[in-house]
This record gives sequence, structure tokens and C-alpha cells, in this order.
Amino acid sequence: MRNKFYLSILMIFLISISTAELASAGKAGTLDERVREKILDNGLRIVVVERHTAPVFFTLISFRVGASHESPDHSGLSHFLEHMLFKGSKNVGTKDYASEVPIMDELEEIAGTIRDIQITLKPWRFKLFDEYAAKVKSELTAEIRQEIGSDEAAGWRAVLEQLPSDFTDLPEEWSRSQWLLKDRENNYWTLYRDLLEHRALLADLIVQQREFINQNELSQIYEMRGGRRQNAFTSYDQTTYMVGLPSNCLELFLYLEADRFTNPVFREFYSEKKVVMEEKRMYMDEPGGLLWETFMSTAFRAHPYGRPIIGWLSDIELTLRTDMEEHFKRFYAPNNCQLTIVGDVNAKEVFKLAEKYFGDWKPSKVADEMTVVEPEQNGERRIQVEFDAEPRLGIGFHVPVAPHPDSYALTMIDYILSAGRTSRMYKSIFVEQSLTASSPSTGQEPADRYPNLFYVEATPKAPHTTEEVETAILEEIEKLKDEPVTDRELERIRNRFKMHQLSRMGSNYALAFTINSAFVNRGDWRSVTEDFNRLEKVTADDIQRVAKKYFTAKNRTVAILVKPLEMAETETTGMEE
Amino acid sequence: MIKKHIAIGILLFAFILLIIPAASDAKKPQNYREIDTPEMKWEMPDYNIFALDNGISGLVVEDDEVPLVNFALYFPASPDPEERVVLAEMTAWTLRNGSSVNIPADSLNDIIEYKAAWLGVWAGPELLRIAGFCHKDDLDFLIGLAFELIENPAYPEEMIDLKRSTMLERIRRRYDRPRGIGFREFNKLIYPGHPYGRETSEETVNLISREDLLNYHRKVFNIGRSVIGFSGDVTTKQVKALVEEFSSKLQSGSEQIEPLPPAPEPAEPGVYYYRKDVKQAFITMGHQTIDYYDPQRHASEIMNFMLGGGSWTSILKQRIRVNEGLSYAVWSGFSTPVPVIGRFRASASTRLDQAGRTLALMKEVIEDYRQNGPTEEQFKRAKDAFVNSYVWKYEDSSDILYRLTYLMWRGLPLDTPTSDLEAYQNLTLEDVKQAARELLHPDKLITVVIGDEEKMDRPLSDFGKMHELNPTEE
Repeated sequence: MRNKFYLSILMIFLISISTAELASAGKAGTLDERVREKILDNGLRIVVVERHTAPVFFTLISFRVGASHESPDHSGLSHFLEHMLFKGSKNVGTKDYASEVPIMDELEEIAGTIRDIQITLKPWRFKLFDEYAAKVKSELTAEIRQEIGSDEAAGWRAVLEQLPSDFTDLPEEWSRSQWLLKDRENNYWTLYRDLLEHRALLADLIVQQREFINQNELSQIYEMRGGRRQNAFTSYDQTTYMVGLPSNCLELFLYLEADRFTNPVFREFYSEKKVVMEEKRMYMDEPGGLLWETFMSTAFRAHPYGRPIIGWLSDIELTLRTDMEEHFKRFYAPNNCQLTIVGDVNAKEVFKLAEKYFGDWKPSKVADEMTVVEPEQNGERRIQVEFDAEPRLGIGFHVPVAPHPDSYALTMIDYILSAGRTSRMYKSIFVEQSLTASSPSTGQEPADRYPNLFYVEATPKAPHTTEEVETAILEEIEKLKDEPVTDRELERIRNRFKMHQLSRMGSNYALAFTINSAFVNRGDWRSVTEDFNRLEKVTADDIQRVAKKYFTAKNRTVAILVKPLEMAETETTGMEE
Repeated sequence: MIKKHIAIGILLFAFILLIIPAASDAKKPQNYREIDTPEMKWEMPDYNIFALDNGISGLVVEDDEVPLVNFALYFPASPDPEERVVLAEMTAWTLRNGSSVNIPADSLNDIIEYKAAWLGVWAGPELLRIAGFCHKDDLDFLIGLAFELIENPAYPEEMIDLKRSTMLERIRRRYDRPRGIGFREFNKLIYPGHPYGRETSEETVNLISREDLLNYHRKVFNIGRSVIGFSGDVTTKQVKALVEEFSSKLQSGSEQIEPLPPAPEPAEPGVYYYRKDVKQAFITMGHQTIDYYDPQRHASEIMNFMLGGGSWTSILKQRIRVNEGLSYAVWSGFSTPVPVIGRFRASASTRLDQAGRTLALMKEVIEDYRQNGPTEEQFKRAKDAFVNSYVWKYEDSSDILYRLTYLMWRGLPLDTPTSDLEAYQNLTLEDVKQAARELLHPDKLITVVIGDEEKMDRPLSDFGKMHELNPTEE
């Protein structure tokens, strides 16, 4: 047996085994054979793959809108909207919608006033005042604090009582700075007090509305019926809602989702805004996330891929519910949407029920393609990002996306450089030179609908530096230009793609995501097969040509995460002791 | 032909829209409650078990939908000795990446990846697992490689060095991420000195030698104690013959595996603070709980589900996230591991100047829940969620493989999923209230806070005896 076993290994080295078997689809068939599609008259695409292996199905509802489609002062709106679409409709999530309406109107007016005051105050003055108020709040006596409990409005009113009403009573360093508090047009201090009063009113109304809200009802309905993976995500080019359900819930699902997207009510908007701002802060404390965000905004000067998906804090803070309603009306239309269902369902029944529930959803003139084109880069960009963490490195080159012919060679390069233990960077940089904490990663980022970046990220292993790692990465990239990649590398990657094609046929989740991405990036699920066929045909020459074309110093951005200067100094001293 | 259809479609559409607009609405239910979700009948998919003379036992879930196979080979393992924390991880990694004495590592990787297969070795405090995934025609080959690693491991020094240096880098990066710091410090306080709460140090990493790996290997890879599971396009007969063939040469050693020691006394309750310049405070609090065999295990799971567990609609999320907007990520976990007492842990991250408010509210919610438990409605919802989502445990044949092989390896009954489901169905509101009352201990909370106290709205000493964590001065 042992001999037979070794023989089989040897054979693999001697002859290139046929991988015809990998291409055979097995009982499951191929994606093209299995997909059923119907486009409703209103433009809604419904794509179904029946899989009856378990009595469940998985769904994705995707809109072709995301951070790429926001105006510069409304960054983060798509992501925030995604949160709001869990808040229910006129039918779901409410105990008495009619009673909610006047409260929401009032909330909107108060929020508008807060926003206006904040803008008049100017960001620097507002920050100064607000920090002062926070300090006063933190110094409230235990007794007062007890009284306030978790009542936010009471908290702001207690602060207002402690704050001087006139600027003459203010701390000395402030009252000497008259210009800070008052000018010919405005009494800023009075305005700020007014803002706090409005904050208290807003908090009161939020609590008042809660009486009429059936909080989290949509999530509860799914949860109680055994729903799984109930979630949503926003990227630059899509906002996608997902849930998996037992197969007895098909009609319920279609009812609820049609209701969700045709009758949404953005209740709890102003409390959810705080949640979104906390989400943003959470990402700001992640060293990898911070490097990424800064990297992208350096590489893209014009294109929205340079803005964080979640948006900038100041934009999120000033967003009003009415801004979101406009955004929603503009992009959430059936002709900008695909519903993907994979699992234990009957396609004909899905189409029939989808017509019933989504059929009278009105199409709209969805905004045109996002048209900003990133200007050609005219020289290397290099930045440092300070954070209390060990160093990291990011390198990126501007590249095209599918169906541009060069994009397929770039995908092959991505795999050649970093997929698995046989990849070049794994073998050379991580194992042989032992320069990094793990193998450097590569990818086409940050999204795939518009021209993006070929991105490499690595974490050096001390005592090796980011400079050494950068040099090693660039050497690997140079090699791609100097000599053709081997046939075995290409075959290995093709085999991997074939395997991936097979394995996803056995997973509701993987099938749904494959179909969905094709819609998001290319507008049609059929591009899955087209892209695969074009990947298969990439040659060693293509790779060499494409590497030379895009991997140039002029087209490169490099970002390095470093410790804040003063910290780094202390540490060096510490080590010498 | 096509045009004609479209024309009819448009006409019909217009007709419905203009003349009887209520017609399509009339068929639609006014409320989702009117939609029937008929009761589902489903059964756990079939599986076969087998046992070989050499002591290895196996399980097969046959599924020929796609021509692929998953397998997992489980060995009971010993926890790391105190002075050699990460011995198991280092052994597992070096075994896979160092390959066997007969096959150079590069060749091993090349043949596996050329076939687009996957082979992994993983080790924890009680378990070492070798798992693989491949085309059905490559199964002999991949199983052969797995057994080759067991029989003739190489453990080359250069790979040990590589793993050692990456572990040292991991130690260096230990304080990069606030939540990483929080979870690690919390575990150290809940399980002081125990394998669940031990921390690697430069010293322990440097102490581990090739000899240690070989000894660990010899001790753990005892074929008589192993369990192997398969799922995918295979037959039980085929798999049994295959395992028999490859495992026949392996010997059952006589070295015993040490069980995990019982959980130690946790650190004293109070606030443990690590200063870091960040935007958000990261708060995590909790205490020890019960183990798997405790009669309250099922009740504790539903209890925690409503408090802050899996549910989107849990009370912690409701109060702290939805109502107050204090945190994006707030949740709780309540573990009941098989060998050792588990831990309860509630966490949230929030802007520094509302850390005190959040911390106070978390404690209030936990205390309130301990006293009152869930409402009747919350309980019913949680129970429905548990029972109705049970079907997901059997979604894919590989899910079943991993679930059942784990049970086999643990020596737990294979019908545990069914008996668990019955147990959830039989729970009453009072059971869950009792679990909240008896299993939550707000007075014993160990609270870890990462952030900058100077920027917080309240002094942390308001919440218990303060302990400063200075882990950099190791």
C-alpha cells in the first residue's frame, strides 16, 4: 500500500494529471443549468435555484446603490439607510402608525433646528462648547445622577441648570474671548444653550414615540420562525439584505420584504444615528481599518471609492430623516433590485408569489451610472498613519475591473501571489525570508463595479521593518514582469476555480452570493460564467503584459501604520534599559 | 412571438391598474399574521457508523449532490503544560507545514493545492483535529497524506523557528486591538492559571523544543482513541476499507491523556482597567457559570438568548443599542463547556464620555433580569426561535459530519441533538426565571475596561474595587 501511495504522489510530479474530472458537474449540474429567472414588468429580477437537500432557503435582496452613490456631504447615507430598513413599515413595527406621524414630524423639525444651530456655531466652537457640557455632565453629583437614571432628556436639563446662562459667568479664559461667545450677528452661547434644550426635547419625543412602536418586530417575526443569518450589508456598490428561513416561510418572507421596501417607516432614526456613530468609532479603533480607510482616501482623489462606506462622523451627525427619504426614493426601486432565493422552494411558486407581492411596486427612473472617473495618477503617493499599534503596510495600484480584458489577468496575479501555501508571497516572503507575521494578502479592492486597486497588505515581523517588507513585495511584483509564470501555477489556479464552481453548487449561501455579486458588479447573473470562461483563457503572456502596464511606481500608493512619534521614542528608551 | 407576449403583458397590467386596482390587493393579506406557515416535519438525515478492530470509530454522512468529500479525524489531546503554553498549537502548525520525512513541505503543498484540495491540522486544549476537503477521486490520496503526517512527521527545525517567530510577533501585537486586550485579560481573570486563561510569553514560546513536539505527537496520535467522520460523495463501505488500510500500520500507544484541570477560583470581583488612547471604551464583564452536565444547561441557553445572546431582540441590545444608542456591538455569552465550568460575559463598546453610563446600564439590566427573568412573551419567542431554527443544524452534510463526529469524540450520545430539542421544548418560563436567578451573579462581576479613564463620564471606581492592568511590564 505504501508503495502504491508514493507512486501516486510521484505520478503527479511526472505527468500533469488531467483535471477533466474536476470540470464534471456531478449530480448537482452547473449554475447555468440550475438558475431560473423572471423579470417582473416593473423591472424586479427574481433569480431562483432550487435545492431540496434541507427544508430551508437562503435569500438576498440587493439594490445597486451604496457609498459610491452619495453626495460628498452625505457620506454614509446608504449604510445608515440599511440600518433603518430594520425598523419596520406602516404595518410592521408599529402599534398605532397614525399616532407616530405627528411625533415624527415634530422630531424632524427639532432635528432641523439642532442641525441649523450646529452649523451656525461652526464645528470648532461647537466642539469646544460640547466638550465643556460633557465635563459638566461628568461632574454632576451622585444624587442628581441617581435622579436622572437613564432619562437622557433629564440629563441634558440637569446640565443646562449647571451651565451659566450668560457668558459673563463663564470660565475666565472664555469670557475674556468675547469673539468666541458672541459677535454682531449671534450670541453663540445662547444658541448653544438653545441647542441643548432641543436635544432634551428630541430625547423626550423619542421616548414618547416608543409607546407606539413595536420595536424590532420584523426581526422578531423571522427569529421566532427559525430565521438565520438575518442581517444586511452595505458596500460601495450594493446594499444587500439577507435572511435564511425554513421552507414553510416562503410566502411570509415575500409579504414582509415587499412591505419593507414599499412602505418603510424610518422610525427611531435619531436614536439609531447614535448607534451608527458608535459603529464608526469602533472601526476607528481598529488599526487595520484605520490604515485601510486612509489608504483608500489617498489613492482615490475623485472617485467615491476613496470615501469610507460608513461615512465621516460629521456627515452622519448632521443627517436628517428627510435626507434619507430622498435617497431611498431615488435608489430603492424594483428596476434597481434583484431578489435571489436558493434552497427548498419551487421556482414557479416563487415567481407567482413575487408577482403577487412585488408586482405593483412602482419602477422609477433610477439615477444614472455614477460617472466620476478617477484621473490618472501622476506620481507615487506615500503616507504615514499614526496609531498605537505595531506597524502595517499597504501598497496599491490603480487597475481596471471586469469585463475589461486586463482584469482577468489581474485576478490570476492575485491568486499567484497570495492564494494558499504554494503562492509566491507565502513561499518567499513569509516562509523563506521570514519577514512577515503572516503571508501578505492581495486583492482587487475596495469594490468591483468601477475601476479599483490591486492592493497588497502585510504586517512585518520584528526586527524586520515595513521598508524591508515593501522591498520584498515589490521584488515579487517585478518578477511577474521579468519572467512568465509557469504552466503549473496557471493550472493550479484553474483547478482551484473549477473546484470552487463545484463546491458552491452544494451550498445555498455560496450560490446566492455568487449570483448576487454578478448582478451587483455586472448587472446580470450570467456574467458568472462569462467571467469564469475568460479567466480560464488567461495566458502567461497576458500576465506579464498586464504586470508591466499597471505595476509602475507612478501608479502606486503606499501607506504605513506607525506608532505616534512620542510613543515610539519612549519605547526605544525603554528597550535600551 | 416574444413581442406579442410583451404586448399582452402590458395590456393586462394596464387593465388591472386602471380598471380594478383593488383586484390584486384583494388577494393580499392585510397583515402578515394571516399568512400560514404550516408546521414542518423533517428528520435528521441518515448517517452510518462503524468501528474497526484497532479502536478507531467512524461516521459517514453519504451525500452525492456534488462529487466532493469532507473528512475530519479527531484525537483527544492533553492541555498545554503551564511552562509550555501553545505547545499544541505549535505542534499542529508544524506538523502540517513541516510535512513528513518522506515528502518535502513544498511538494506536499504543491500536490494538495494542485488538486484544489485542502488539508488542515488544528489543536486546542483537549482536541487535535486533522480535516480535509477534496474531489471524491482524490480521497484516497488525501487520507493517505493525513496518515503519512501522523506516521512519519518531520517537524523540521526551520519550520519550528518560523512558527516561533510568528508567535513572538503575535505577542508583540497583543495590545494593538482594544477588544483583543479586553477578551484576553478577562479570560485570565476568570480562569487564573488554567489552560483556558493562560497566556503565551516570550519565555514559554522560546522554551518549546522539537523534542517537546515529538513527545506531544507520540502521546496524542493514539489511533485507538481516534474518531473519523466523512461526508459527501462516498459510501460507507468504501470509507471503511480506506480507513482500515491506512490506519492498520498505526499503533495504539499507552500514554494517557491528562484531562483539563477543573476551573480555578476566579480573580476577585471588581474593575480591571487597561489604559489605551482610543475613541471608544471597550467594556466586558462576567463571571464563572456551570458546565455541560448541569441540569440547568438548556434553561441557561434560553435565558442568555433573551438577555444578550444570539437574539437581535435581546434585552441588552434593546436597552443599550436600540433605545439609548450607546453601542453598536452589545451582547452576552453564556458558555457551558463539557469538561470545565464555563463563563458568562457581557460586552459593549461606547464613546469614552458615555462609558460610565453604559457600564451602569449594563449592570442594571443584568440585575433586573436576574430578579425578574424574561416576560412570558419573551420566553415564548425565545423558545420558538430555538425550536424552529433547529433545522439549520442539518443544513449541509458537512454540518452533520462535524456535529456528530464531535459528539462521538466526546463520548456523548449521538442522539444528543434530538434530546436537546426535547429539553428545549419542555422548558417552562419558571425554569428560565430560575436559571436567571441562580446563574447570574451581579455581585461577582469581573469588569474589564479598555480606554482612557480621564475622558470617561464617571470614575471607574464607582463600579467596584479598581485594579490597574499593566500587562506591558511583563
